[in-house]
Amino acid sequence: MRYTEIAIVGGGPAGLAAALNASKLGARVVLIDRNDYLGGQLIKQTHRFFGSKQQRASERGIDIAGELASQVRTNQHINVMTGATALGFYEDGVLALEQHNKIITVKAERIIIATGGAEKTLLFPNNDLPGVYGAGAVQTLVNVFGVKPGKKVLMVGAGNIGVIVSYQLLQAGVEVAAIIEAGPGIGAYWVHAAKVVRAGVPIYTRHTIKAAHGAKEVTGATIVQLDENWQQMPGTGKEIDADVICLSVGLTPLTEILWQAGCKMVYVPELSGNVPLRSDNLETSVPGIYVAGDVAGIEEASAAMMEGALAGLNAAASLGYTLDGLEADRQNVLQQLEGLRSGPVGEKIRKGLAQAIC
Amino acid sequence: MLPVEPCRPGNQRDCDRNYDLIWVFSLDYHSWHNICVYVRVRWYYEMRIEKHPILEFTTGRKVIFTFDGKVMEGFEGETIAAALHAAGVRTMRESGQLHRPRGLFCNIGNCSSCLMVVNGEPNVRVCVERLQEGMIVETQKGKGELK
Repeated sequence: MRYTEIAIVGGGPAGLAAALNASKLGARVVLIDRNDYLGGQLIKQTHRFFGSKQQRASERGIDIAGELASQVRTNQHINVMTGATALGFYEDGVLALEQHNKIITVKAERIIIATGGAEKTLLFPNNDLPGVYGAGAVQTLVNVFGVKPGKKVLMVGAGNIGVIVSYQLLQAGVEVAAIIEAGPGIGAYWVHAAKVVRAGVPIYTRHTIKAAHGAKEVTGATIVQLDENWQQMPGTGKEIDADVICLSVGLTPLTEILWQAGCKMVYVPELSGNVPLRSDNLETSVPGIYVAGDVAGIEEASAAMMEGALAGLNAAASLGYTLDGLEADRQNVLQQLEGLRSGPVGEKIRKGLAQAIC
Repeated sequence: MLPVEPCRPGNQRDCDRNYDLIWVFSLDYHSWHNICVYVRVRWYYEMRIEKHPILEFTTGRKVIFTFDGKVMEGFEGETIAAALHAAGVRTMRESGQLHRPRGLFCNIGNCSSCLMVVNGEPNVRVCVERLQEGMIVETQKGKGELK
């Protein structure tokens, strides 16, 4: 059994920020990630982030990942365990991990769960064929491994991920046949959408995929227009020639450990699924278990880093650690988060958080 | 699957085509041989991104593995799924009930769509398992069997 003060599950933006901030106060941290690298999904983000300078705007996720990971790896208070999958949480507060085919148990005084999210799928005939991918899957293949998923892509979903991945596919020399979006408008930031439109990719709003075609792999798809009530309109079918269908229809929180730990959960559509009820301090209904990032509700990487910082500071402070300017630090992070969630873009998140914070 | 076109097994100098050569262990000769793999190498260049405005891809050394008995090449340290995609293979498994073909879906180890048999071990998530020299990769049918 390994003993530590704070165990963090997940080494993505939230987990890395949590580790750095908790250790800043002096707490001993074990950071656990199932991958053999740190950075989570930041490692495939080649676009520049939005926001203010403090939120690392205009930097690329891939660079942020490298910088945070090296800070974590050189920090003497942080013990990094990569290639370690958290398998279970037991009643006595023991976390079971599998690392290199061995079971390891960890007992921590505080636990921060930062497991992130998983891509959703969409219901349509043949949605299980090889060639139907999550948009994030294609992003990993293209941006991390330099391999194309196919020759011609149909992107389903015109939110930020769908449009950004479409642009990154074009950068990689892959053709994008079209982007379709069931909603009446393009959800992505206009600066990204404008880039793909300029490149000649049509974006069809109020369209969905009716079926994928192909016997063994995807060879094409039929798309169809939707009416005001989201019903398919007869006679509007269009054939799209594509060997790749990318689904960019959102993510859902990866909450298994929280359920297992007995945290009170609530279904909040605005946060994309079941999320833990938590305090302003990001502590769940089980004392000592904190959450940060997409597992607490799907947002984006900047918010995940801020939440991670907050959870790290709060978890360390609850152990009695403190630092000059701790309160100012905390207020600063809270202000940043408020900024990210302000305005019409943050409306949905604000509505969701109102149901999850108690 | 595209066929491998062997071009005079033997010495690299015997091959007058200027294509990539790989080493394979020949059961006929009980020794290592160079063969010319013109067709597959062309695929390899089509699926690999050669020029990118932002990224430079660094790879491990070239290694050989087999997929359902066919010799393939990839780079050490990339995922098995990436190497298979680069070789034009996107079908990884057959579903248990309806025998439907399945490939990658999430590519980060969440969804279990890409389970294959690797070195005899079933249910390996090839989207996160790293490629090593000489791996024996096979299409998985159904749940797979522990031997």
